Amino acid sequence: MNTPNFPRNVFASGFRPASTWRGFNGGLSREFERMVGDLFSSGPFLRSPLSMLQYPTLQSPALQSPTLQSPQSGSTAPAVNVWESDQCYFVEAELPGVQRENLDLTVVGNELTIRGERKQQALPEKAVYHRQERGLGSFARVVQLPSDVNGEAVEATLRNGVLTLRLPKTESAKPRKITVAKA
Amino acid sequence: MNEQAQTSYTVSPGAYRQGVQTPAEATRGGPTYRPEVDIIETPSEILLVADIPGAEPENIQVDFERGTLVVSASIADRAAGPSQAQASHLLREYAVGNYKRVFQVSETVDSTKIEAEYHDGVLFLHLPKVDAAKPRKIQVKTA
Repeated sequence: MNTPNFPRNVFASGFRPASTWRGFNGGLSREFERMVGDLFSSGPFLRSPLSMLQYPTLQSPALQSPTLQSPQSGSTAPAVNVWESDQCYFVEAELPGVQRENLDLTVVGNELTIRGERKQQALPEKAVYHRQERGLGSFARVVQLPSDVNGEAVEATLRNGVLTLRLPKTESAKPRKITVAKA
Repeated sequence: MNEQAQTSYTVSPGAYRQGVQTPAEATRGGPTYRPEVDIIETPSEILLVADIPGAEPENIQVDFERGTLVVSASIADRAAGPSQAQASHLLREYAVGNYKRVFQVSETVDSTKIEAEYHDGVLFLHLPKVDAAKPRKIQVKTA
């Protein structure tokens, strides 16, 4: 039986300011662990869309064209998936708990910037955190696409915490069929 | 449910990135992820907040049986949509997979009153405490 490691264990990533650790380090009582304890610490892996700061360098050959700007230190950058069709680029990011109004998307030339903030939910009085794995705060990600996009026609949807962008390529960037002229 | 909880997890070489495959859930290939959670206790309840982006509320399952709380969600493979069938990936930083996480909950939770909401990809699970477990101030009567 393999016990997988957690390559992206948020407890080790250190991106979260210490002030948000309320009650975890010191306050996790045995009593509570009995109350709501995690059955597997070696179960399926943690999935943390918003704590991508230490994301490893991408090495797939397909990834060479979109150069990625690494996030500024101290900030969090969401992971993105990028794919293309003949007409468009598509960018998808998982942003659970981010409201539409806290999301700021800009396109300049071939550069897409996703900026936003995940805010803390309102908690009743006397609330104590027993476990805090979900990251909070602002994040930014710049994605450089292989060619320019038509910024006017970009469509973005945010549904169930998943942001999907459809970025039409400019006419000059679309693939073109060339007919060989008769001699 | 308990048997599934005992299933040992082995890393599948084919699984993308840090995903693991769970033998008990062979219905859909691909990784199963453990969602990140916050657990917050208030005087009246325990609130479990879990990031489960991309789920539809009807595909989120919360099962409570004999002190074991299982939160799982099956996520439709978005990258396999018809519009993307012939598209080529330029960047794959995460894979889409199902979510599952198991918690042990003590008897201080009133399992008949557990409520769940799902907003913006986040599951909020309210686990109310049984009355006996709520903090109570006892008034000392004068003789």
